[in-house]
Amino acid sequence: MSVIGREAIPKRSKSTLKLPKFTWAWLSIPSLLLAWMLIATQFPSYILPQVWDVAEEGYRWFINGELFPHLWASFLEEVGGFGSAIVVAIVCGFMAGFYKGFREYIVPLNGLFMAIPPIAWAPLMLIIFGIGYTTIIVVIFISAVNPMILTIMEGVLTIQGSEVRAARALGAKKIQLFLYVYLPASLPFITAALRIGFSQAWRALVAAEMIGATQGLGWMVSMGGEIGNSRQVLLGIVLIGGVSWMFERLFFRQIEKRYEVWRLN
Amino acid sequence: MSNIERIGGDSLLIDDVHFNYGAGAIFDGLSIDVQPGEFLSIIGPSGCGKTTLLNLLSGFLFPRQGSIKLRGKPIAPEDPHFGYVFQHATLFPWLTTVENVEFGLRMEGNLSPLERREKATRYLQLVGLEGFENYLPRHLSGGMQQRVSLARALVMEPRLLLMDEPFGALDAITRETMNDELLRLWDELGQTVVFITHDIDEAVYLSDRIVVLHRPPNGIFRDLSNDLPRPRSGPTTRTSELFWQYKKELIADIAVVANTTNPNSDDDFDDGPSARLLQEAAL
Ligand SMILES: Nc1ncnc2c1ncn2[C@@H]1O[C@H](COP(=O)(O)OP(=O)(O)OP(=O)(O)O)[C@@H](O)[C@H]1O
Ligand SMILES: [Mg+2]
Repeated sequence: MSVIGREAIPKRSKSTLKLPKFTWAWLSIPSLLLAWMLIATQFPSYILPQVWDVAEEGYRWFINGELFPHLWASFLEEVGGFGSAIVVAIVCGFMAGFYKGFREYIVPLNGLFMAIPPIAWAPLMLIIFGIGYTTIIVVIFISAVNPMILTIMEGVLTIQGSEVRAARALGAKKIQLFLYVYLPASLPFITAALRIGFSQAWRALVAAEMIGATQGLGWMVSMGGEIGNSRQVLLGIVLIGGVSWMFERLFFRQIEKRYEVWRLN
Repeated sequence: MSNIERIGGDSLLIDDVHFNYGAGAIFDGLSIDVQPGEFLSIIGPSGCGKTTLLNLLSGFLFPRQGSIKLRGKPIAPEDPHFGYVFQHATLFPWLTTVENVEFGLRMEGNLSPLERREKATRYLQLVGLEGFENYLPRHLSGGMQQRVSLARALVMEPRLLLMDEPFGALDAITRETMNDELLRLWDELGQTVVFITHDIDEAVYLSDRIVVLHRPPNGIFRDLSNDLPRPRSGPTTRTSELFWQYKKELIADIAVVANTTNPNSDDDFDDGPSARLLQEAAL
């Protein structure tokens, strides 16, 4: 399992230092900012602030240290809800992939839960757990775990029987089959599941914080709305998008790239 | 190339084997006695039970009655007493060539990582893939992949080699090359080989003995001993009188066997995990 990276690819010509090639993607964010600035000129700053106003607001939150408790709270909730969803989804996903009976049992439940927008659970959880971490973590968990179970299950089902057979013919016993065949073969779709789960969890997190929290990025936005501070609202939105985008780019994309080398469609 | 020791082969005794999946019997008292180091080809119409037979030999399936003995002892399903080469290279796509070859040794756990690597590298050389150690399977051609599968099976030094239409998916030219390659390896290593094929030329070219299977449960239709002289080589062997004679006989046999009416016709043959496995592998 060690060599998945560079060594594994047939030799390529030496890459020289070059500017990355232009793609139209370079224009997407700048054009959005430009549009924002243009539209903002038509409104007073307290309704639609300019880009630099929001940047300044961010700087202020950053300097006086107010920002971190919110980021930290959101981060903890995401870790709690998403983390427990990962564990449960891996266990249930593999079981559903391996055992037909369990699959038949759990798929309708997944479908049912996925049909309900996770935020609809928030009021009930508020009643049960009150305002705070638990409520939000439960809502995140519900939203992330179901698509993840399905993704992992589908993946396990696509693992080729022939690979398992080959491994058995080479003397692999049960645990070895899991460790050396099922696990590596499932890494690509576990990654896919993590990615889906993360974004589901993040959405649920923000939504839940807007209803049932006293801190966090979602709270920043909803509170900003209540007190009529559009700078704070926009700052919150930018941070919500930015954090998610960062995870996507720096984390999931990078993992996924490694499998693309051998992944068969 | 001779830095690999001769492995040798075991005798294989298939004795009065009965087997059925469900209602109809597939084998109803099949007996074949394979000599140590013999190259046996099995040929027969689709659905006649060739893959089933290999699965019985490898211990994936158990006979309902009768026994299968390797060197006089009943086969134990838990230890891999055989090398298995599948119709389509079932290499692990996440492992490099050399790691694929190492796989069985790793499961066995008797060698240090360094020794494993060294041994796997030697077997890769043996199948002519020196320099491709760090390639991923998808960067190899079909023929090369099948060589890796062969090396992966051979590295375990099995005294019995089971091959289920290993070159069936290759083009004619590659297939002939692979045939010569296999003969060279077999000559060097000396295992007992049970080789399944649809291809009459291949069967005649490779084997010491050819068993034609009838549709179930009729068992063996013909047991032909192949006296073509060895060493064989494409130009001489394939054009010799005897080669053509065997070929003619087998064509006639197959025509008979294939025309026997049977509910499992070639085309709608699609049931059963083993059959499905092969089809999956074909995708
Ligand atoms: N798991 C199974 N359950 C029930 N029937 C099966 C199963 N596997 C195979 N069969 C049946 O047993 C018969 C023999 O199958 P087998 O796969 O051994 O044929 P084969 O000779 O290898 O055919 P082919 O040349 O097409 O690979 C077929 O009629 C098939 O439908
Ligand atoms: Mg078959």
